Amino acid sequence: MSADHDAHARSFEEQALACLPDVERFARSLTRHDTAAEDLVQDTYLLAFRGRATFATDGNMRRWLFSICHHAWLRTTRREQRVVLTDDGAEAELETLAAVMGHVTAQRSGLDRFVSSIDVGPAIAAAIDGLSPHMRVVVVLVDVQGLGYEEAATVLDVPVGTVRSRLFRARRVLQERLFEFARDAGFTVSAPVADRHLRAPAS
Amino acid sequence: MTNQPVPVSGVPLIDCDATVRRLWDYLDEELDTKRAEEVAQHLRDCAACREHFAFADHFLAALHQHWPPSSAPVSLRERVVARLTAEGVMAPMR
Repeated sequence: MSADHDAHARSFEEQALACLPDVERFARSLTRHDTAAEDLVQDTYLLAFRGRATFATDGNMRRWLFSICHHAWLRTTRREQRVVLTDDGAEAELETLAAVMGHVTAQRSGLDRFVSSIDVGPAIAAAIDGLSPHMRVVVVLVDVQGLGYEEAATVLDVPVGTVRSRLFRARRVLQERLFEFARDAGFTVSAPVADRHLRAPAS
Repeated sequence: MTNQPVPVSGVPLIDCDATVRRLWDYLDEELDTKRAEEVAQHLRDCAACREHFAFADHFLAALHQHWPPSSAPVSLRERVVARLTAEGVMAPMR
């Protein structure tokens, strides 16, 4: 084997293994189980190393591994649910408006302080845990791993519109659950804030 | 709704509805330059929308900050490497 080939192989291996914490985090978000997540990570790396020839040298290693991980998870769980394949931008738009209306409600009840509180961590973890897998995975890719919509769509093999609508819906659900946690945590109602300029979303 | 501000910067003006429809796209930096600048211009002029965007921004920051970090132990990396080596798809570490 040539020195160049050897160096190339080592470079690939180092790049791939450097992504292991992120891949583990992603796998855990999919499986929600430590042992299953480790199995998924193992499978992901085995598939990646076997298919290393398909990785472009100037490609995004982390995104490539996420994509392999997601496909491996779909295969093992038999959850190939490509039902939503349309560019549902209108739905995403309504979710955006709903998020703003949610803020108005939060202001009225004084709950918006909760999101900035230092004790919000466990509530966020529980709220994310309660999301459906399809919503959770988009939140993880965009909000946690910092991928763009196009990148997330590539990883998940779905249209960008699907990423947007799932992401926005997930954020609305998370906000609603956080508000519920906030009420339970005793964040009391404060003086109402006038709804001074927003209309309800058009139906 | 706020009144339409008078254009001074040459950036097309958009109203509150149009602004909040772009809330997540703007915070996620998914808008093209022109549309992002329209939002930015509106936010400079509209305190109410600024509040909504600030709240959403805090929410996203909280999500990012409080997501559980990777719990991958060093031993996981060792087990992955051991399996890759055993499967013959990775040369033994030197």
